[in-house]
Amino acid sequence: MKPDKNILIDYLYGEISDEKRLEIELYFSQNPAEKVHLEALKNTQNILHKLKDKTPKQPLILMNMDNLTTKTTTKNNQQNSNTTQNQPFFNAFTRNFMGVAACLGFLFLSAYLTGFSIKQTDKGFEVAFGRNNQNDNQNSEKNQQQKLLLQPTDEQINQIVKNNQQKDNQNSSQNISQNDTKFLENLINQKMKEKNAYYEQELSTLKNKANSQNSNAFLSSNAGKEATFSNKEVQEMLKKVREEDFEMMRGFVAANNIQQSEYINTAFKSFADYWEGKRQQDLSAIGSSFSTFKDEAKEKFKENDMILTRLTQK
Amino acid sequence: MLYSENLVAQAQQGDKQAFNQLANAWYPRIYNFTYKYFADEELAMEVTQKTFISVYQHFDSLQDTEKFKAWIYRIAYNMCHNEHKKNKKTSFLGLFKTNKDNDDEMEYLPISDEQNRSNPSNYVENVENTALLEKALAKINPDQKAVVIMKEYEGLKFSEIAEILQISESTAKARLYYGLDALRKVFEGWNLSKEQMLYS
Repeated sequence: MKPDKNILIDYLYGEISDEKRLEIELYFSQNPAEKVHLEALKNTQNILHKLKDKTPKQPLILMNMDNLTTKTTTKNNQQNSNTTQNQPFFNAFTRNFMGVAACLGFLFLSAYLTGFSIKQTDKGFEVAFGRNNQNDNQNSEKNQQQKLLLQPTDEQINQIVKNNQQKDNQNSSQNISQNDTKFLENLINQKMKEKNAYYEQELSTLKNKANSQNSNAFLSSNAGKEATFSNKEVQEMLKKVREEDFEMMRGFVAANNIQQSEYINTAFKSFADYWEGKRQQDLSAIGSSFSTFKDEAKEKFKENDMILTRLTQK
Repeated sequence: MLYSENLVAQAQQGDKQAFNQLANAWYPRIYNFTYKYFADEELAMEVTQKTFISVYQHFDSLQDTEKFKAWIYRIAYNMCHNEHKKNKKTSFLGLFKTNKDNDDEMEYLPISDEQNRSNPSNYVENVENTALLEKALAKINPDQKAVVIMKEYEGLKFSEIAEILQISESTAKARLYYGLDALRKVFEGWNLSKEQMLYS
C-alpha cells in the first residue's frame, strides 16, 4: 500500500514503528520510481542540515523592564497600559498622517510651480501645464496693437499709449531699471506734446483757409455756426494724422527695441563675468586641493620609507 | 534543557534575575528561529527582542510551566507572522524592490579575521552555502517554512509544532512534506545536490 504524506514524513524523521518501517521499505523496493522521490526528499533534508546555527552578534537588550508592565500590573493600572498600548498606534497614525499631508503638500506645490490646471471647457475636459493663459493674453494684446497700428484713430492711439505705459510699469516691476522707464515716459510725453501742437496748428490753418474761401453771404446765412470742411479736406487731415501716429508708434517701438537689446547685452555680459569668476574660483580650489594631496602623499611615502628602513634594520 | 520549571516559575512571579537567566538561555534559540525565518539579521534581532518583551508582559498567561517551550515558540512564531504581514504591506506600498527581494543578488555574510585565518576557503564556501540555504528557505511558503525550521533546526516534536501553530499533527506533517518538496524543487532548479553541499 502506498504510504501517505504523514507516514512518509514519519519515516523520514525516524518517528515510526519497526513494523511500519519494514512495510514502507518493502513498498519502495517494489516501486523504484517512488523511491527516487523519497531519496530526493532525503537529499533535501541533508542539504538543509548544512545550515548551521548563527551566533547573535549582539547581546539581548531589553529596554528598561520597569517600564514593561506585566499583566498583573496592567490589570491594576489599566490607564497606564492603555497609554503604552496606544502609543505605537498613535505613532503609526501620526506618521501616516504626516506622510500623506507631506505628499499632498508636495503635489500642490509642484502643481503651482508647473502651472498645472484642470478645466471643463466646451471642447471637453482639459488638463494643462504652464502659463498658457498669460501667453494667450499677451498674444491677443499684440494682435490688438497690430490691428490698431493698421487703422489707428485718436482714441485707439490714446489706448496704445496707455497700454504701453501700463506695459512699461509692468516691466519696471519686473526688475527693469527706473531710468529706462522714465526715458520712455519722457519720450511719450514729448511726442504727445508735439502731436497736440501739430493738431492745434493744423486746425487753425484749416479754419483760416475755410473762412477766407467761404463767401460773406454764406457766412451771414450761417452766422453763429462753426466753420465746416469738405470731405476731401477731412480725409486729407485724417490721413496726415494717421501717418503721424504711425511714425510716432514706430519711433516708440524702435526705441523700445534698442533699450531691450541693451538690457540683454548687459545681462549677458554680467552673467559671463560671473561665470568666468566662478570658473576661476573652482580652478584655484582644485589646484590647491591637488597641491595639498601631493604634499600629503609625499609625507606618506616618507613615513612608509622610514618604517620600511626600521623594519629592515631590525 | 534550556530551562527548569523552577526558573520559569520564579520568572513568572516577577523575579527579574530568573527572567534574565531564562532570556539569556533562550535568546540564541529564538534568534536562530527568527533569523532562519527572515534571513535578515536586523529584523531577526528586532523580532527576538519583541518576543522577549511579550514574554515578560504576558508571563501570567502561561498556565503550565511545563509548556514554556511551546509557549515561547508560539510567541516568536506569532511575532514573525505579524512582521511578515507588515513587511508584505510595506513592500506592496513601496515603489522599489529591496535587495532582499532581488533574486539575482546574493547577500554574503562577513568573514571574521579569526575564521579567515583558520581556513579561509572553507569558510567562504560555508558562507556561500549558508547564503544559498537562506535564500532557498526564503522562497517557500511562510507556514511551511515555519514547520521546516521548527522540525529541522529547533528539533521540536510534531506534537509541539502542532501545539505552537495550533493545528493538528497531520497538518503539521503535511506542511513539512510540502515544504521539503518545495525546497527540493528549488534545489533542483539551482542544480544543487547533496554532494555539492557536502564536499564543497
